[in-house]
Amino acid sequence: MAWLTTISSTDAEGDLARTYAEMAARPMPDAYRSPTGEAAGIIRAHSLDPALMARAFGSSGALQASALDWADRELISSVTSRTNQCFY
Amino acid sequence: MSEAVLAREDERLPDREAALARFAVALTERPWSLSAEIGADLTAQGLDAAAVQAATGTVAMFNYFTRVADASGIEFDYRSPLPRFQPDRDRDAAPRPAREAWPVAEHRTLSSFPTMVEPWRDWHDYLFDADEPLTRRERRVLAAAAAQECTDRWRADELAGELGDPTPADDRERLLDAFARKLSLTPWRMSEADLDGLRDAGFAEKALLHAISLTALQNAESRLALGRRLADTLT
Repeated sequence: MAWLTTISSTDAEGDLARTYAEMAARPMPDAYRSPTGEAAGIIRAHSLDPALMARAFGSSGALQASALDWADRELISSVTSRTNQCFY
Repeated sequence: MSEAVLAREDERLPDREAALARFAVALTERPWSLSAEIGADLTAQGLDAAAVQAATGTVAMFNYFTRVADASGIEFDYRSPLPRFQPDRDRDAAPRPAREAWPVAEHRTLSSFPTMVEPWRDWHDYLFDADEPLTRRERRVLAAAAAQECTDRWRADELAGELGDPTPADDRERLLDAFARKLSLTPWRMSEADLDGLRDAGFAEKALLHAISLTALQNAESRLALGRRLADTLT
């Protein structure tokens, strides 16, 4: 269980439920989808503030049109996470 | 390639991918160190300014995501056929250089990503231009600590000007300053106790999220600017 209070997509209401639905509707590699069908932990971590959630992931989405292909971006993101000693 | 990355053996990667990996390590671990030699390493592999900006954007975002993950305590919930990554929580952060050696990066966006400018500004303004659940000053105390630990002199100076006196003024601000420095330097050492410390000081749960997100955002923004600074030196 996370240390920060989070609200699952199944328990979400109002703006949070709508934001979760918008996030789920975005194109996303299967590897990024949680096997439980719940929103991924990194998304749920923002659940106390759906407006913040939308902004954080909207900005990351804007990086998809890139001079580097998906494999390069995955390499870079993996090395970055590894350097920060993070499983993410 | 995945196995090489997990095993921390980037030199086993093909030359071009190894150059990208070295850049990601440098910008993450030693953001002040993006030298002409690193630029030459990238251009030797056919990576131009646009590619370096693209790499910078990804490094910046994952410096955000990893800090949110580490500070919020979320669990690993992705399918993967690969061995589980084992973090080295005893690892120390790279020592920071003296302030006079901090690079000055005036350009704070990625010119190769014009569609990113408005969403990013909206995100930034949402976190910085609010009075609750953290005050505007508390937000800037967090960001100032993060910008300093990123050796982002332009942003550190800007925030010092906004704060007037950047020295944390009371116990709450000292707590926020310490939180932001730890999350910036050694995010892998964050624990539930760090959040409990903020709770014990009276910060609401949503304030904890904003403290995490804002600190992580400043880490991303500082790296965005420092990577852009290198990209601007390339043809």
